[in-house]
Amino acid sequence: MPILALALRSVLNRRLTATLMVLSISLSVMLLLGVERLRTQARSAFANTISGTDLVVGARTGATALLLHAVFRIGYATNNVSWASYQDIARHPRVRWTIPLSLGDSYRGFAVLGTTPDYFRHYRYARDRGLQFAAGTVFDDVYDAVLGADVARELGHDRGDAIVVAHGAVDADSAQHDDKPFRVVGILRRTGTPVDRTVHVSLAGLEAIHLDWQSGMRVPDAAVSADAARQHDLTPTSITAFLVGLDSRTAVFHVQRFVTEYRKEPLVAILPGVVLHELWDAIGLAEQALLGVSALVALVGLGGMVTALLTGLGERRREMAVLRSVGARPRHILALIVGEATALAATGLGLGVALLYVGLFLARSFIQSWLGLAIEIGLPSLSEWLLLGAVLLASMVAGLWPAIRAYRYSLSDGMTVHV
Amino acid sequence: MHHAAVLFFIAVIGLGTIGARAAASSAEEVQAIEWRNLVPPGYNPTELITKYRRDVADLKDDDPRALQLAEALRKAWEGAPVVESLANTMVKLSGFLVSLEGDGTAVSEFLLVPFFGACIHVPPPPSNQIVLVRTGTPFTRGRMFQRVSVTGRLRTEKASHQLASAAYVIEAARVEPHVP
Repeated sequence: MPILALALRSVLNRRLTATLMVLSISLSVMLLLGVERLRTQARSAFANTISGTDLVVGARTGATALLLHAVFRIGYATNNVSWASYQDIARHPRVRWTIPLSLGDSYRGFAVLGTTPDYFRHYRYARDRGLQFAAGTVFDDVYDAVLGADVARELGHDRGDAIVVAHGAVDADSAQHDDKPFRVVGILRRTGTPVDRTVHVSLAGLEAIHLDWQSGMRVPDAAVSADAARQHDLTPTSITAFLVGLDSRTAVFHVQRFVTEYRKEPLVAILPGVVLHELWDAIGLAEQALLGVSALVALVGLGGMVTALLTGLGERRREMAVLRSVGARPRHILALIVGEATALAATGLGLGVALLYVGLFLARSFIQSWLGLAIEIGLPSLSEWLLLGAVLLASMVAGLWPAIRAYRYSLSDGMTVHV
Repeated sequence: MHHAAVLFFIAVIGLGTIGARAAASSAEEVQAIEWRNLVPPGYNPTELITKYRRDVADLKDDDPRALQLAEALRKAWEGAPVVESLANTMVKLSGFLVSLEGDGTAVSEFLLVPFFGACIHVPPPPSNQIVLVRTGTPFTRGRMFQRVSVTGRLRTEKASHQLASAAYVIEAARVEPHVP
């Protein structure tokens, strides 16, 4: 025990360099773990957003663009699918269910999605989990709206509240559909997917608010009141995309073929699992590079520690001599230096992990609103523990070098130091 | 891929151990099968294709007869019969992986198809040349269309639709990268 106390005091005596060492290690560890964590979290958040859907069908465009827009609300659609084509494909004998999706409007920064009650029945996320209501029920009336969990929480909405949807993806005062407010009838449970950040309305509701927007702007003379709109035919002429569920997953290629060869309109059908897989393949290399760079940063952090220990040795020859004089053997000196390196690195690791969690906690809502990714703050995963262990082991190995030098010094110096 | 990166880092620093995955073995004998074993003897879609090619050559795209033939071909494809005698046997089959479900790194459900790129460029394989695989433990995947070997109990599953005949399913499958 006295040896430990002495070692601690020795470190405290060099607290400035020791603090800097710990800081540089903790920052590099934070970077390393942060990259690993965001990488895996982003992947699982994406993969968990859609489940049980066999095909996503939209106007002919890039497969990734269609998936990102229709499912993750990222980007925009290049074209629409006509209602007639949608109904044709929905009638294909192998199709069990479809969910039409109509995007493009927004409510205070949240996406507004026009769909049918089938959405709440068939949409699945995170390995076959269905949507559940925290309060209220599915929309029924033209002007009913169902809010995702985050929309309700962040804007403080409850059932019965009136909301005014804005035309286009960005809120602008001049483009409000303020003559036709929607009434909140239901709020969904949290899913950790973009559903949480979506306002769901019926296709008829979307059609109604766009009745007097036919020429791309509201024409005051042609204004249709909310009640008058109910008298119009509110069947949509087109939708953005739709999700398809089949009676057997092995039929997926045949229905995909059917959609691709559909003559009346150029359409594309994608397998969401395949597109996500391709996406990972494409960005995998960048991820590896990022992880490689942060591993190098961790090495640099350890290198800094070794440098500081090595330069410190000259000043500490007297200290070693004193230790020797009270009975420490050269191998004790060796253990002391290795122990010091390990302890400093371990402190750095602890601080780095703490910094990471603070950072994640602070950045969580920002990441969620910016990327739509739900970041879970859980215990370190197996691969993170492996990384931490690797850094700790590396610090022990790195500590050996100054330790061996100190060992040699103490052998040659004995108790008399010739500085 | 992602564990590979972690292990790479460890190796850089000079550690480097890889745990081998324990392989669950089954007492029942596993029969290694090939894709043609999944086609009942006597089923020959080539006849139809030859007829289709010959007839279609002198038809216009929108000719109702062309559409009729295409429809006939589609029905033959979707209704391709399965080999009932293989049902409920332990089999090992290799092919290409098309992901359906999974998390960011591992696949829990996928289609196994006999040739690479079986989804866009050519007509899809007949339904008896597609096997739906649900993995026992999710398979940490490599690239898209990776070649894998699947071991498990083969079942035939009736689709709700009358046109289609049964489809092949392998449940609780063990999946390994294919070693030629």
